[in-house]
Amino acid sequence: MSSNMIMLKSSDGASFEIEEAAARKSKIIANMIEVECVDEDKAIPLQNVTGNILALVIEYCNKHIVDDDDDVATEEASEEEEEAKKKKVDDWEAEFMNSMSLETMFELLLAANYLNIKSLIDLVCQTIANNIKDKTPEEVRKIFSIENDFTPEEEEEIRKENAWAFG
Amino acid sequence: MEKMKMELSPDLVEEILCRVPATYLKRLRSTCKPWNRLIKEDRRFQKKHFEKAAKQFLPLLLRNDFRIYSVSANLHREVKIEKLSLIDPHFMSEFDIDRVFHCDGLLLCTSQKRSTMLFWNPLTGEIKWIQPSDLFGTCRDLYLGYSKDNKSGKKSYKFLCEDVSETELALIYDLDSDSWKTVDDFTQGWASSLCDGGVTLKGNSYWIVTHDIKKHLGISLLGFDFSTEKSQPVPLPYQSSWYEALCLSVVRDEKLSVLVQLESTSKTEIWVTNKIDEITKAVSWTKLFALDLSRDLKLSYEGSFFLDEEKKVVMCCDRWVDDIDDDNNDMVYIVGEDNKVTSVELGLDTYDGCWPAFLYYSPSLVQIKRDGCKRKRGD
Repeated sequence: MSSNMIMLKSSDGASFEIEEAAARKSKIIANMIEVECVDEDKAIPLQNVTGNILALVIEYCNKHIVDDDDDVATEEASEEEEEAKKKKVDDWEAEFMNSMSLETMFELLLAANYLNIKSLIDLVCQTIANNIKDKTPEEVRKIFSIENDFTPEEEEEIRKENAWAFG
Repeated sequence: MEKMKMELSPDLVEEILCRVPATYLKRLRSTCKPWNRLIKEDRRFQKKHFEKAAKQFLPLLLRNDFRIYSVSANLHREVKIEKLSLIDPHFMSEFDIDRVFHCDGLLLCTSQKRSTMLFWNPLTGEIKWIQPSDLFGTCRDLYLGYSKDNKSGKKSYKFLCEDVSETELALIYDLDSDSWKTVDDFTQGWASSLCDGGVTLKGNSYWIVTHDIKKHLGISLLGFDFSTEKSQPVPLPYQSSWYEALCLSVVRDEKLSVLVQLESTSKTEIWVTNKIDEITKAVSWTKLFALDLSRDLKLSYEGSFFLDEEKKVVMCCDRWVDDIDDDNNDMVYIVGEDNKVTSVELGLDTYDGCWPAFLYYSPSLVQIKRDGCKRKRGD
């Protein structure tokens, strides 16, 4: 297995070494590698991602690059093996997201979006969705920094529409 | 440097919201105007939500007062029953539902008293009245489903109406075009539905039948595919021409389930199919658990049930008629693998109300009014 290493540099100046294969999880970095604007000695600067978030992104990419290799090797895997493997990934992802604050999740989502890592966007969005589903509109407004732009009458009207079903 | 407040782009907010399950998302409508618009009106968002959000599977109950109720039970089996109002704007009163069918969060409700029918999304409150066909008066059995365009994957919701007086003739209503058409010979000799209507799974409708001529084939399921407009028999776990009880249900939008009692002395068994593949439609049955029910709890063909496969618990209902004391009651029973029965009396005001029936329901934001008349978007 080739272990071409590349360097990433966060907005606050921290450098991270990562396997090229793992870095390629990011469409943006993969593109940079394709068009050869990656200088072997220089780190790729990521202006929108801080060091602590980049560390999480790299942890995620490293974990999933292994999984992708497995996929190729065991294409003929039985249904049970597939399920066991999926469960292992799910468990890892649950552990990875567990205990992360909503604020960190938002930052991680922005980083995943900036770096264009689809599966990480999906994972973080799903976790935030699970997190907010039981919250009241007031709580959700705070989380998303949203102004309530309804008049009290309009808000009451919507609440009435919602009142009877599956409260 | 001061830390910037995190703000997500509308695209990312949408990615999050489309993963919030339907009944929770509905409550978030009052967050702000853009969210309200997105959840209530944006068809593209609704489609995305249908694909991405975890589905919820809830039991609904049609009761003898012609109303639909949501039924929920907690771990201690304390039951909460809540009415879902369906106001009939023509009469400014509640619509009397005597039959109800479910597909993708949409309910098809009929009222024989008023010879009308409508589609209803109880979550969004959207309603569409169906212009009855001239033949509607003689239609007894309804089967709901959809056909799917192979290329675009677009669903067209439809229902099949069997004409009682002429078993070979049936009508199909298409919600997109709001029109009726006839289909011939779709049952291939399988007829005389023994249950009140069928269930819908992945757009196909399934119901219980016997063969008109080949009696030795016993009782079977019939599956109707709305894309090909053809039906196909689906074997039950047993080949028999008699059951003490036989009811059909759907599990998690993936499987069919039957509640079977072969003889009055035998156990009541709950069977589930494999996840039915949309292409091959191959079906195999596995017994999930068996119940040793007392005679009082005997279910009939008229019975219906809702299965929680994971917890191995069924909710079923029946009418308890006592001719001597004139003490009649509609009952809900919750019973699990341990045979412990929790019964809830619903009461019964009148005789002529409809029989209680459980319905499998998966809330969604699916809009009833279809794309048809809207201006095309250039995509």
